[in-house]
Formats: sequence, C-alpha cells, structure tokens
Amino acid sequence: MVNAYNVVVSISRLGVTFLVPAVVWVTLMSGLLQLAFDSVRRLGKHRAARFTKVRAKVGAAIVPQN
Amino acid sequence: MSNQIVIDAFPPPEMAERMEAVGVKKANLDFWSMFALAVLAGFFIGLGAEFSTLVVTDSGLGFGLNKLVGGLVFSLGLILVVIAGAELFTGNNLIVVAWVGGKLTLGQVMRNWVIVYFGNLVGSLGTAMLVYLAGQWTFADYHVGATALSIAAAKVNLSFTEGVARGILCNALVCLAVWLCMSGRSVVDKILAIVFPIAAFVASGFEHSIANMYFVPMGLLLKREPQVVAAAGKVASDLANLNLQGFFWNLVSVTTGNIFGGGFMVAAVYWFVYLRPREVSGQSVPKRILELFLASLVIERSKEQE
Repeated sequence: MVNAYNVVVSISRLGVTFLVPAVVWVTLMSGLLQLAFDSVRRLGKHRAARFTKVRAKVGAAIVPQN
Repeated sequence: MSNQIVIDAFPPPEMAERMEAVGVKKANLDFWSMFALAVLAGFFIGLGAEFSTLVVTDSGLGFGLNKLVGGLVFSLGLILVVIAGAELFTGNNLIVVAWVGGKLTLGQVMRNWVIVYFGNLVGSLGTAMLVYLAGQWTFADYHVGATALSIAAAKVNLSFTEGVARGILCNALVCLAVWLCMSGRSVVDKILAIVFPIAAFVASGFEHSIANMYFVPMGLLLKREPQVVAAAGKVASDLANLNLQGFFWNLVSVTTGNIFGGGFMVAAVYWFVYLRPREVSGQSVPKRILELFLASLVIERSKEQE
C-alpha cells in the first residue's frame, strides 16, 4: 500500500514537473513559430502591394537592377 | 412580451459560446489597444495586490481569516479588469476555447498572449514603483513593507514543481471566475462571480503570474530598506533568492502552470463538453485534438485563399 502511494505521488510529481511544462512549451513554441511565419507572410504581401501601388503611380515599368 | 426583462443567468452552453465570441474579439484587437488594456490590467492587479498586502498586515486575525480577508480584498484587481475592461494574461488563457473551436489560429492566440503578457508586466512594474515611491511600505512602523518582503521571499523560494502546481490551481480558479462572469447579466452578478474564486486562490496561497509581477519587484525594492528587513525579521540567507534570477524562474514555473490551469483545464474542457462538433463526437479525443491542432496551423492560409 505504501509502495502504491509512493508510485502515484512520484508519477504525479513527474507529470507536473515534466509533462505539464512540455505540453505548454510545445504549444507556445508552435504558436510563436506560426506567429513568426504569419508575420513574414503578411510583410511580404504588404511589400508586394506597396510595390504594385508605386508601379501604378509611376506609370512605367520598374526594371529590377541586377 | 418583447420588453420582458430577463434576469436568469446564462446557462453553461451559452456561457461557452459567449466566451468563444469574446475570445475572437480579444484576439483581433489592434496592437496598441491590446497593449494599453494589458498595461491597465497589470495596474489593476497591482492595486489589488497592494490592497491585500496592506490589509493582512497586523490584522489581529487568525491564520485562516487573515488569508480570507486578504483574498477578498485582492478581488478588487479582477473586478476592475472585468468591469472596467482590461486585458489580463491569465484570464486571456480562456481564448483557448476559440482556438480549439477553430475560430482562431494558434498564432493569433500567441500574438494576444505575448502582447498582453508584456503589457501586464509593464503595468505591474509601474504599479510596484509607484507604491514604493508613495512610501506606503513605511505604514504601521514598516510592517506593511515587511509583509510585502515576506510575500516576495516566499514566492522566489518555491521549487519548480510547487510553482507549476500552484500556478495550475490558481489559474483554474481565476479562469473559473472569468467563466462565471459569462453567466452574469449585471455588474453585481459579475462581482459576486469573481469574489469567491479569487478569495479562494489568494487564501490558499496559489500563484498568479501577473500578481507576482507586482509582489516580487516590490520585494526587490524593499530588500534594500534596512528598516523593512529588520521589521520582517529576515536575515541575508532568507533573501538570497530574492533577485532578478529568482523572479525570472518564479515567472517561468508559475506562468507554465497558469497556462495549463486556465487554457487546458478550464477552457479546453468546457469546449469539449459544450462546443465540440457533435458529428465527430464518436472520434477518439486525442485524434480530434491532433486534427484541431493541425487545422489551426493551416486555417490562416485557407482564409487567405478565400
């Protein structure tokens, strides 16, 4: 009985110390990565829109300089 | 009949729907509104913490009643957040409801949490500095400062496991308080819904990451005041962990617990009970969660294609 009690307490302690932080931090990291990708994608779209707008305003083809 | 006044509380399924809608609204706030509201929430929680510190000092009550009184007055913080309107990180863990329901992406949830967390930090630190400059810690012959110092020292001396466990329990209660507010129709309903869960977490000594952003910096400031250290009866070894490193590790463990307690144990559970799509209810839960997780990663892209 004492052993079973110790095992349950040890498993719970391991769960709180390792499993809970693992679940939370993996979720946080996934979210942060997704946030970073979304921001980069949004920035790219914003730049493309701005480029199109400028090109339309200038009314001439902008030749990229190599 | 159309003018009939409804006084019944919202039933739990409607509370879940309201919470989901609120979560979407919160996540779509613009940066500056979100940040300003988060700073306010840090300020409000700091005020509740300061009020609680003052009241429990030399109250003459027994252990339990002293804790209860401290908890009751600490409710001021969340009452201000909910009624006046502010963005509190721990309460916002509930927007997990909108994420698991597929209304938000994990990236949107994270944007809200990151901005709100740092806004709360700014508000709490600002409040700690104002209270320090106000000299309130000198009251009762420096015993108010001594109480604040003892609270901070106890927090930074927690083990990682204790911090996580107390964080889970705390935010389960905080999120339940916010959840109960979704049932209320009036200010009185909401205040009554807040008071007991908040009093319970404070009296029980559970850990709230945003409150700790006030308590621990306050201790860091008061550690330098010899009269306060003397009044608290502390020696150097008692305050050895009361430094920036101790503050950081306390926040890591407690924030981890808070996210789990609020986001997973309250929000995700209530979503599962009331909002999960019924046609897939026969599906195994882990499979559904994995599907939702993967779906949330691509939801933004599909929205763009539309």
